[in-house]
Amino acid sequence: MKYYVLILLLAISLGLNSQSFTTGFLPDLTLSYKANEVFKIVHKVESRYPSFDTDSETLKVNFERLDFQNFVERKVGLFSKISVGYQFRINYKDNNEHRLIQQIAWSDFLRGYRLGHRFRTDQTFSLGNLPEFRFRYRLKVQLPLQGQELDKGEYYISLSDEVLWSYQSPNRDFENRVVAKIGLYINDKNKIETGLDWRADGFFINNVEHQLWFALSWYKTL
Amino acid sequence: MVYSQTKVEYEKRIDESEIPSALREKLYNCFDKKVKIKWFFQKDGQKEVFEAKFKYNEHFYSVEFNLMKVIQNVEIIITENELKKTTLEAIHTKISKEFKDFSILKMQREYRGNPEDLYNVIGLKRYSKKLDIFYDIELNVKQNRRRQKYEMILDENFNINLIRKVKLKSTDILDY
Repeated sequence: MKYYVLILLLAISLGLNSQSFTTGFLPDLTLSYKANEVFKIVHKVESRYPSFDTDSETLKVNFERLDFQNFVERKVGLFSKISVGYQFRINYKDNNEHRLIQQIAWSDFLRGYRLGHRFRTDQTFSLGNLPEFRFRYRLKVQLPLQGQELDKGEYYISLSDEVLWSYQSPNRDFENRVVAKIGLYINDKNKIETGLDWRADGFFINNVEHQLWFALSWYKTL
Repeated sequence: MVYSQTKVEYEKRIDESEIPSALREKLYNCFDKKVKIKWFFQKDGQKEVFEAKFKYNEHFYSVEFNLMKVIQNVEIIITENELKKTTLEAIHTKISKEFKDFSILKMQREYRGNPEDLYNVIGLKRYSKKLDIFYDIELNVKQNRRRQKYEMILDENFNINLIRKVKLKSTDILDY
């Protein structure tokens, strides 16, 4: 916890010098289970708690949003799968949102590490706002810290970069997300990760906003 | 033919200092250039071994030692192109008898025999006729409209020594 406080203070000091900066907490829980021999169901709950931004310059933990994601996944190859999903977002200040998600993901098992590719499209609808369309690609690498294979009770590093292109009439935007986490592979049904999630958007509208989230994730399989 | 249970392995990287210096020297003496060796302790339910992994002369080697630090086998990752046409055809024919729809993901040629002959495989590329040869093959198999990973071990006469389904680790952290 003391490291979080140190990093938070460092992030705030850096953020004060940039144009627009927000930092806070980003916990999520992913629950997955087999529906039958062909399909898998995945639920994800994620919440955001901004705790500091350069506009208000006050340190206070606020609730911003709560996302409920539900996916149906089908394996299409040994290392590839397609999923369709629906997300309901509860916004504290704005109207709630509905999002349709389609994704294809595949993994490469290389000597000593795993690479995960994810191509995703989504469409977001909410009252009073025009629909938003996004195209996203994420590359994630998982590096075991105690051998070439990840075994029970071992730690790993996960690093990812995701690029997002979005369109909400009449604006286009580009966002980049870099995530660095340390994970504990408790067993194949329980994994916990924590780390930093840095996001930058607004590149096309000349108003770059930076966000730095302290993420805590739990992946649970039934 | 042996159908085995799902393969579950445990592997842990260990420091080179945990390996007796005599054994290290014997292995390093096989090389005519500098080679970086990674050492592992491995357990697969049936046996516990030490394993040395390294790249030498454009090939990836895996050399196994028992807990008494005696060399047990040498595995070399090979591509299908490196095999004689007749050998490759014999392997494909054998796999086809078990699985209709498959592709080879990875193949290793494994040598087993007496320690001196095994060290000669690494350093001198001298293959004694007394060595036993096995082909350890990882397969992508389509069964009942689903893709599965299998491991198959064939001996030098292409008799099936072992077939087992390999349980893949979940990829939820890479997908969501």
